[in-house]
Amino acid sequence: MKLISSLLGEMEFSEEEVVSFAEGIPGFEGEKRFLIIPLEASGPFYYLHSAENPDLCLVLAQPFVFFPDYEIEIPDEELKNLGLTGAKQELAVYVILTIPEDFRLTTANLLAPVLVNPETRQARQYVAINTRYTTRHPIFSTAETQAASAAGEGR
Amino acid sequence: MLVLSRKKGQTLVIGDNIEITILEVQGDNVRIGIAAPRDVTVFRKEVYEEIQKENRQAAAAARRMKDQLQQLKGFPLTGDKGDDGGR
Repeated sequence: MKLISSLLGEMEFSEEEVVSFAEGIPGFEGEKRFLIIPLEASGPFYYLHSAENPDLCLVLAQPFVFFPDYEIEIPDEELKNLGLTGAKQELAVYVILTIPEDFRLTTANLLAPVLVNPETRQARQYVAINTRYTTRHPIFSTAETQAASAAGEGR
Repeated sequence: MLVLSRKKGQTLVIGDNIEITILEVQGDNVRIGIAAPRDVTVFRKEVYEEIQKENRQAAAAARRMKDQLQQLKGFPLTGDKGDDGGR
């Protein structure tokens, strides 16, 4: 299949690469089919690009690279919805990034991670309940972020 | 919208298997107990709206971010380099 992405240009993909969000993602409930494309050969950033809408692209990151202590409790029912039942099955966890004009102020949504069953390619953005996380955690260290804001103010 | 009054301790039933009980009322705060099947998702509306908003903003940002993405790739993750601040 082919899609001309406004951000990435021409993309070719096969049906097996499509990750399906049965319920869409909040804000884009109608979009159920996405591609997860690495920015570079080895993480930690990925595009989450709609397989149908050439203008819809989000950026994901592996949370544990930036937040080694990140933990989130996922109810069994949620795992079941993703087709994960046995104990040995794998679950991929990503977080959605919001990248402002100054990329150093990029934040990650730790409140609602994207969960993917890599085997069945079922996915869902899970809204965590009873957690201290928010939708905006800076991904770069405080020192870097402060330096970035200071530089921004000085312009 | 259906509007009805309930007292503390009273319950509403929605459909076959959802029950909502008023547990406590204090000023303009109401504590609610919800009994629903596990496959019914319940969350605070403002939380869901916040996530919708964040996703829309993230997607809008993505449309104009080709350049930022290149920078993002090259940025040191640990932040121990001091040569990036003065641009």
